[in-house]
Amino acid sequence: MLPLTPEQLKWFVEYAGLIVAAPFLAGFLIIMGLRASKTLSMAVSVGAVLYGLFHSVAIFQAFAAKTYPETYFQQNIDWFVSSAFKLSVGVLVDHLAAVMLIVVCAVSLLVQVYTHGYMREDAGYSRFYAYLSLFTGSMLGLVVSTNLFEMFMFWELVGVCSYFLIGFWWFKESASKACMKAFVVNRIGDFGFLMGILMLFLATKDYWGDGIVLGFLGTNGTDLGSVIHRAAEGNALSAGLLLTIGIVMLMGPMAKSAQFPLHVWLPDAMEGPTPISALIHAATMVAAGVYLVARAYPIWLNTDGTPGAALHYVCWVGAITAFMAATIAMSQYDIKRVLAWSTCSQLGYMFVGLGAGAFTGGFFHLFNHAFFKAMLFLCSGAVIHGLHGEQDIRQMGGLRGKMPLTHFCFLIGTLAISGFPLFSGFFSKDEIISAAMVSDPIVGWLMMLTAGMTAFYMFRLYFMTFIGDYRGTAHPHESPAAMTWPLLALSIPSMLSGYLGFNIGNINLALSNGAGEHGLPSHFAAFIYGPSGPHYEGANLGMMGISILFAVCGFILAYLMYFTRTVHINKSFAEAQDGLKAMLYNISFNKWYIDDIYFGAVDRVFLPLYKSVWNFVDMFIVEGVVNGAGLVTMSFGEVLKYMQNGRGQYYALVIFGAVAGIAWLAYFLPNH
Amino acid sequence: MSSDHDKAADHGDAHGDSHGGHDDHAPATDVIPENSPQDMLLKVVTVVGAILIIGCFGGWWMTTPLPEGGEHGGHAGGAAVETTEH
Repeated sequence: MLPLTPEQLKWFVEYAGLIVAAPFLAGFLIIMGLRASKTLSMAVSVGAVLYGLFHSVAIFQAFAAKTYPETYFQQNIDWFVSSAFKLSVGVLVDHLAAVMLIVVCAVSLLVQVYTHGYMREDAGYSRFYAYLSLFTGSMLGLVVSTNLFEMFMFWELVGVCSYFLIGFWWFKESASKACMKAFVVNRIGDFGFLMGILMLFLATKDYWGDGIVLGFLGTNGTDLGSVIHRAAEGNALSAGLLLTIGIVMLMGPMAKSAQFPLHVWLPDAMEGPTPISALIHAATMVAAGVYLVARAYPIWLNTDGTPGAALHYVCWVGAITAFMAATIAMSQYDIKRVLAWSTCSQLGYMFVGLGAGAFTGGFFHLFNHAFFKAMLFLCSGAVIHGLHGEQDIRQMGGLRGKMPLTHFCFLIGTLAISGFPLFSGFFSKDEIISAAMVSDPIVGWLMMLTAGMTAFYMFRLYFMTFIGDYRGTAHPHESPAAMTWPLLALSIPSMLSGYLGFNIGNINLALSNGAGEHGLPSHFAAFIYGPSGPHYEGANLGMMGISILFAVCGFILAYLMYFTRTVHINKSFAEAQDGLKAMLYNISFNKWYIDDIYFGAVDRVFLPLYKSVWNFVDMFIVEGVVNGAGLVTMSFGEVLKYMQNGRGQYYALVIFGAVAGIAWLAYFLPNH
Repeated sequence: MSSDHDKAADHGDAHGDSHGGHDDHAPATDVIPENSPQDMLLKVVTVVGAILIIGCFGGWWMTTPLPEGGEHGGHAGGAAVETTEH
């Protein structure tokens, strides 16, 4: 805890906007001139985010220790004012934002330190820091947004920064294609997000009173949940319309958080430098969709605030994504792409948590995942760096002794993501699975199976990378301290953060068969929404046991296949030429053929359709207008050419006729 | 469901992205060495960052009693401070 007085803590809460301003300022300073100096670029960028982390911790402390007496603070200024409505921008800090600010600043700080080691020899070192700062500022702006319009603005900014960073090595064709793919897929999602915002605005515009239009929180019933409830009572918002808004608006989070079927951009985004994969495509930006649903959850509830079809839709989107991505991760060979698919899968878990009503469970998984997944990606970067660019895990192996620190951190991350007891992922995943079992048993069992597959593909990755004999030709070496120290720093929350969401009292309740859907809240749950907020804390020992059993089965299978190599199921699948095994392997290896389906649809349906429509428009409308204009001009020319005869008497006659005509008109037209 | 098997090559999924992939771009001329003061400074920053994270959540976890439940620490409807500048 920081040694600050209540007055000082209050100052930090009320000036939270500085957290957003600092990285933006750093980014602009680097672009405007500091980029000439690598040291200055790095120092300004790292300094801004270090300040942000300090400020965020102070805000958290103010709320956690209740030295700040209120539950939130927001300040707004007018952005767009018309006679019909006005839009505002501002800063909102509450418990949810306080935790998210720390996550973003902490991961961004450690990634920026790591970047110094990883990008040391890159000519674009300063430019990279500029983009990192601009991205961090945009993400922090998204976190403290007071309303949906403002959030959409920062939502687009993080998308643009992501585009720049995926395509950072623009001279690689794969990178330029990947950033374009990410941009296009996210635009599709953002279109839905914007449509949802506008539909909600039109339905509720008369109910915001003096509050912030589409604001998340407000006094006197001007928060999102209360306005939706009042709009429903006033028949301005029907249950069907709210469901439609929820489904349409979810397209934004689905694209940003790489959920099926808008997930296709995330694995390709690994073309960007590894620090970006860790910061944007694992820990922060992809979590923005989850954050939006957690922040604006009344949109996905019924009009009376109870869970309904929209939330069930969220749950199923997450379940399909989690399962699909896990099946794909099992057969990939690129170290970063395995982690990318695992990110997809874990984001699916978060959606399931939110969809099953375990809002704190979903958000808690986001919190834990940010630390261990950032660490896993940074470890993969250290491996790639140590192997001089090699990313294929078939060319690795035996790196445990050559990269001991990286190996230690990777193992911690693997245990955490696999949900092994006492590691962070275990606590949040268990809460999600338990909630899913209550909400929809099919989803619950699907998540259970996915937990087993997660353990399998992560230990497959671990064994193939770090255990056995080295199969490559490079000379592996441990990374410099600038890269390993951030790994060690991230390994601590990866091990311990789960305990923030654990209440031993629930175990006692469960042992005495007293645990229900709402058990005792943990530190985390009580802090985020308050003990009476939307949370699921029921400790189900049976589910916990089965979940551990699935994870252990996944581990044992990976151990037998890739460590002792006594079981060869993997080979039988990979070598099968036809039959069920070959089909299953090909579906997994070819990523469920979803990219092929999309490209096929574009090539064979959308482009031909577009060409047909365009040909029609071109032939009958554009050509018609152009030819018609030409014909009219030609006709007039044919007629008028006889008037250009060069005789003065004729011109005088025309002038006389015109004057006479005008005089006649002036005489006969009625006077007013 | 895979092994050190070369079936992957048949699928043409190999892609040449790598850390070394940017080597074909113009190399940096002023590389900061690994034992530079900048690296030392970043080690200090890492330690400070880790202390902030651990101190923040660890201190909170150790000093705050486990919630009992039933307390209404309202979210949307709770007391709040709002400042609006129009």
